[in-house]
Amino acid sequence: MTRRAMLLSVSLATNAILIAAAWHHLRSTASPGPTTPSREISSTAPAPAADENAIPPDLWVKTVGPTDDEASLTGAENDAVLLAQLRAAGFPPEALRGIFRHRLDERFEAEEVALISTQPPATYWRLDRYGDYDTQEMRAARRALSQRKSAMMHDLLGDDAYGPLQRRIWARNYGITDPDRVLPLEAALNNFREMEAEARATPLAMLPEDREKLEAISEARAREIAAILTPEEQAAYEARSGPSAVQVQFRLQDFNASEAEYHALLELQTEFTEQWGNNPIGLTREQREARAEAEKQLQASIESALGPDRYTDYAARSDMTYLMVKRLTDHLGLPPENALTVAALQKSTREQQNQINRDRTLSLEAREARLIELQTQTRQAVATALTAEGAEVYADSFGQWINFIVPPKGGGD
Amino acid sequence: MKPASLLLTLSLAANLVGGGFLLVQKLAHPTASDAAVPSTTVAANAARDRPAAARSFWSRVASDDFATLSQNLRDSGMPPSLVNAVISGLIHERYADRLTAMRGTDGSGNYWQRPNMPGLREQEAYLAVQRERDELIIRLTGRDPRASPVRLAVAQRIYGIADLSKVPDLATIDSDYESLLSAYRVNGFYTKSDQAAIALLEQERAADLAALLSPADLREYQLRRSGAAQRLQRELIYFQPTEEEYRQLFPLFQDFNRDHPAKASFMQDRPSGDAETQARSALIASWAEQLDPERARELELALKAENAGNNAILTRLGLPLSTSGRLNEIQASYRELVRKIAVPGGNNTETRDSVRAQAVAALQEVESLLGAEGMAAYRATQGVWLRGFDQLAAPPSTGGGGG
Repeated sequence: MTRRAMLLSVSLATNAILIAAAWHHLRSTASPGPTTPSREISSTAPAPAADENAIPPDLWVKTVGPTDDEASLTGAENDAVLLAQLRAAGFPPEALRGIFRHRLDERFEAEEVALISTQPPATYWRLDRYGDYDTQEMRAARRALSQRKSAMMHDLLGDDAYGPLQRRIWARNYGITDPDRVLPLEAALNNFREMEAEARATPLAMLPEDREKLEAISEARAREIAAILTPEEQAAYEARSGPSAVQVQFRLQDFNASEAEYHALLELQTEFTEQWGNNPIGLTREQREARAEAEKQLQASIESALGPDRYTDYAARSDMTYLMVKRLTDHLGLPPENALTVAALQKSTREQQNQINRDRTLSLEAREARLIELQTQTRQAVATALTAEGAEVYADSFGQWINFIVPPKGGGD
Repeated sequence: MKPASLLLTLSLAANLVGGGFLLVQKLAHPTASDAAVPSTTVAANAARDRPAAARSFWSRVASDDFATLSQNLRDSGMPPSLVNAVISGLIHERYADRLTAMRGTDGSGNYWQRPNMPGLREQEAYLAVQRERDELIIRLTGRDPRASPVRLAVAQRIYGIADLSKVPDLATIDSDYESLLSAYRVNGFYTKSDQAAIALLEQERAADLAALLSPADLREYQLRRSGAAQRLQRELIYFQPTEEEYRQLFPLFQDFNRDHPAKASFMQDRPSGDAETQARSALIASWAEQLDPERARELELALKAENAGNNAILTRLGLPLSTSGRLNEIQASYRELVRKIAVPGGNNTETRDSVRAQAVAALQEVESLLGAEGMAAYRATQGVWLRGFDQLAAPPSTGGGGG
């Protein structure tokens, strides 16, 4: 056979194949394919026959298996079987979580109801230190129950037990998204939170022994966290939810710090908190004075970390008085600068008050007259910044100090 | 051209045309096998070892519309208990996304910045979404999530009502009003317009409750959950009433609270203005008539704003509030002692010794009132004023008492 004849044969055979392929292709695109992956996709294809989308009444039994016995669906012993069936049927993790959370809630319902119902009657006539009607034992028992349910979800569903929302929240709060690391951490944090609440005996009053107890809890928590997390994980957790982080975040709520500024402040605050604790309550006089001195040093370190301009803004916007008054200006629709004015006024008034009190050239009457004048000016300035309505609220809440510019009379004559 | 050459040329042209046609058709109409979706879901599903027939169940019933999904699942013969579990579970999952986003607690945003506190509008929007979720669950599953046995047990404990059939509706009313009120409480203070809005909300709550509950159940609810109850519980925090005392004091306080609404949400209110001061004095006098004299005296001490600091520490130390009155008297005597030395001719040895002796006696009395440990604790908290007595009581060689 010549080369020309061979080429002709191949070309003719190719044409035959092409014609067959074209015929097959035209047929397959003329009607919806039997492997259309979903109803949403099929709805964009040429309209199928009406009954093709209808759900056959035996679809569940045919694809998942016979589950006509409802009781068999509720038992824990069937969880694994049901899960396998649902996964095989293509149920997405979101649906699996929903189903098994619901099943576990129902399974433990009677236990939880019994737990609640067997508690002593609520002492509604007294303000509970926790602000609810649960006893400490009941809270602990309900928390343990909740942890058991979480552990069962984890054992059953593995990674599917946690959705994107949960992982985002973990990333935000702890910097970790691995459930095997997060769950023990959360359990420990909850336990220590409960211990802290118990140690804060009555509102408004804390004794040195309470402070010692809280410090011991804080140290125990740090040890436990260190045992659960790697050093890197621990650093990530401390930067997001550690005690110093909570303090710094609170102060930065109106400062719009960059991440770098935040970390600089966090490092300084952590050093301070490690030495002096979170607050001065329960310290002796000497300790308080030493702490106040250390606080001045802390501010100096913050200033050098932020630079003078940013520090000026930080100092004004992280001031506790400002943050409290800003709630009022926000509420009244006033600009935050008015809150800055009131915070600055409080500082300058205190300085003037101290000057007047220290001035030994003044007679008692002259001193009192100067203080009354200062008090009047202060009230007027507050009313200008906060409006009459705001000034009234301020006087009743954060602004009680204005009443004490002039010492109360009486007491000993 | 020879016939063989012509045939070859035509055949090769037909190859080109046929190949081009198939290519164009392939691009325009991919077949099912070409259209495999490389999504993570499909990849994850494919990774699971399951029969091809079963894979299609979810894809056949799935719908973004919960009602359609619910109907499809029921139509498929899926047991109703499982359908309800799927539907309520999925609804909770999807709404959790929305609700946490509304609170700024969905993990978005910078981790070093705190989410803002919700205001009234945010709180109302949040409640609306919660209601929408619950109504959807009720409509599609026939089950009221507010009436689950656990929630009923909790509610029974909180509300104290006898007619448990009212609990789901009561829980909704309570939760709705409490959520709205919390938007005012969160600041810690109330403006005049807040007070008016709160009064209106409380009136509406009372009307809703009166339409739902028997008078006896309404009273139990009011004793526990009304704005007046919450304020009274704060007011009496240092008095530590018995249940019987609380129930005695509550009705009179309801009237007072209506006429003189709270100005703050976290602390005891200080009366402002003569009218409120007089009304408060009248209230305390009326209360005192209902208590035995000793408890009436304790009530008076517990309610004095100037005693708040002492009361807190005394309560913590487990000491009677009557101690507070004596501590105040001792504290007030300091000015008199200082004045004795400060007056012309007072700065002499005899006066200084007398003042020193009185200061020592005062410190000893404080210690006898509080105990040694209590005194140490008091010094570290409320007892800063004792430093003045320390100076007056110091022996002359240490330079105390002036000179």
